[in-house]
Amino acid sequence: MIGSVPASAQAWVAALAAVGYFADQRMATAVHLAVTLQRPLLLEGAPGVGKTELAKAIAIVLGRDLVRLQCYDGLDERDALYEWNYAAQMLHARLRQETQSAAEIERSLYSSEYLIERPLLKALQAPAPGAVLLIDELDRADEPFEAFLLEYLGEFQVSIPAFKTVRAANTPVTLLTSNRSRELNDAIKRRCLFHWMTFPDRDRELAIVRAQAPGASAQLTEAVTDFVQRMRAASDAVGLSRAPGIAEAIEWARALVALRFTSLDPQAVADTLGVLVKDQEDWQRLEPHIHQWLKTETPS
Amino acid sequence: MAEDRDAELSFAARLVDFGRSLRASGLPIDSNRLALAQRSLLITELTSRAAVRDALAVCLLSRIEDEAVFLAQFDAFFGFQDLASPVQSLVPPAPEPAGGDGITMAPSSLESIVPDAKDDAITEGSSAVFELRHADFATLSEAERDALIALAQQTQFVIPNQRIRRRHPSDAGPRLDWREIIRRSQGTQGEPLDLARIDRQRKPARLIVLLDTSGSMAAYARTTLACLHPMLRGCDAHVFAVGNRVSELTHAFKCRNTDAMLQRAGHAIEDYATGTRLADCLRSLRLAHTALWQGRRPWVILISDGLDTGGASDFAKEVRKISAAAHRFVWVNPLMRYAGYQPIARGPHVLALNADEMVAGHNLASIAGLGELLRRRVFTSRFQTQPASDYPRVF
Repeated sequence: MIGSVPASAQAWVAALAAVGYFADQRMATAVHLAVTLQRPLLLEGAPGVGKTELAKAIAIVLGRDLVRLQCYDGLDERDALYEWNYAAQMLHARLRQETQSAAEIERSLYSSEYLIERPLLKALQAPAPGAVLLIDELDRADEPFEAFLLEYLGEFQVSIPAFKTVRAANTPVTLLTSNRSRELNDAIKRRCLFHWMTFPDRDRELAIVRAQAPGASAQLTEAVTDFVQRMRAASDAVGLSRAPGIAEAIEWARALVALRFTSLDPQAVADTLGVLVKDQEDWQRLEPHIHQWLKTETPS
Repeated sequence: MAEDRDAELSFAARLVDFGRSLRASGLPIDSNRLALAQRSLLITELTSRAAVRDALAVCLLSRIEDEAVFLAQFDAFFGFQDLASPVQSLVPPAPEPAGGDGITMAPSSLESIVPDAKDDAITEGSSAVFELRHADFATLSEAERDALIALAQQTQFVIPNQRIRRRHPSDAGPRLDWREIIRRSQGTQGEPLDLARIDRQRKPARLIVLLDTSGSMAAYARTTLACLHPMLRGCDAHVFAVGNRVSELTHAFKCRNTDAMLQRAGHAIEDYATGTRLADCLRSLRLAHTALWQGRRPWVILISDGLDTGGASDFAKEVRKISAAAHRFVWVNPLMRYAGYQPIARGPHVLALNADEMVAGHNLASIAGLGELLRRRVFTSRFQTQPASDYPRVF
């Protein structure tokens, strides 16, 4: 099954579940359309809802390589697309100075041999069946970089001066993620399909934690899921600086397994809460509620 | 009749209609997106209504704030009408007359799906518009207020980017990039033939808009919010309501639809038309929203009559701190509509001493003029302009 392209949204749900990613129907529809229409897919949502993990899961399902470009302030073409290997070019020119004419040297200098591929170029030139390209946290990059991406996202091609225009032999499945620290440009959004990722409901999260932390007992998995769900629901009311993501829930379950806890009690929570909460003030705000969130009945 | 209409229209035409109504509600739907939506429907297994909705949402949405409007329109268009839902009420019943000339918010190629402006009465330049633009917010009737909000949709602040401390390579930059020049000269036996230059990077100016929603400002707050909403579109603006406490409206302002924004803002502001404890609000803005004050110094725009009902002692201190942390501190004061107004009361006096600009804010013209003021001031140094009042500036 791995390596073939699922033919419908339902097939995507099943295929992603088989590799440990539990998608809902809407997410699967977005992925299906992005793969079939060969359009970039923009994923937005709170940190820790599984945007990056989705890209990894898609890469496994399609049997493609995952090429990841982590964005940051000041990211430019040289880090994202390509760079000439100046040192090697210079060495080459020096060595051939005696034997070759200037024109010949120049021709040979600008060849793929001296081109250092960065993620975007790598994704375009990936051999069949192509690659999955993840442009992660695009909101961290600056606006000129967004403008630079327009040609890439629109045509899946890039122009390299003195070399050639590189077109995608196999259109990469492209995913962009944003944590919304700022609004992305409308021009980028127009070229992309869009999916807003929310935190999963209890059953989906239970399935995720069960799959990702297989060592945990059923009782522990349920307790962890319920606790995290309640904490998330109350995060605004309690005044937490951020709600815990799925990744943190998984980490927490794994930490509890590593410490050989089989059920969740206040002591276990106090010992391991650092995995879930990364802020001293949040910790203090949380403490009075721990007992309440540990109750065993299902949350409403 | 609805069934007859259904029968007549092909699905594509219906999709275009759907796109038009979304556009009228403020969503940026262009013909490319509609074409994409149609292609996506062709390759999706349309087993259920939810499948159609999901496929259309993936293609037509690009911001989560627009989802509520999208879902309401979807229900209205594709059966299972649920007109009792609260969201439905914020969708305008018919394509909104956006006004006269060139008010479309989309590229010209999309004119075929842009609803025509039908309302001849509201065209730029007519005397009715002039009167509306200069009418005091407090004296408007409901109908006039709606017309005013429609008129405000035409205005958008265009604020040039601000220079920041970071530098970037730029051929026409004012300074030489010595490090890059040395690096490049390695290829030419140490001769610096290629002079690399750098310039300061530019980033959008960050605006912090504080709107006083206390009892004394109640006549202005709602209309001011509605007018500011389209104007701040595309700006890096952080909007807060200040009264007894601070309520963040930034997320509400991300809705494209002004009615939807007002509804969300209404939920966010719990203390509408109560007291004004400006000092407490400014302190909590400074301490709880620290990220706003880091990096680029923000423009602070305070829309208030300055009549503070909180403790007296630290009001001046807090205003001074905010003013010092701001790139520019602009006080928009609806009371300026009175000829001969003087900021003599304690609160207004403190604000006048510390504000870089004091401008009126009681009608559409003055709110729109704020954009012009910001545009002009981005490149001027703070100390090239006179303080708002004749009083000496106090730090």
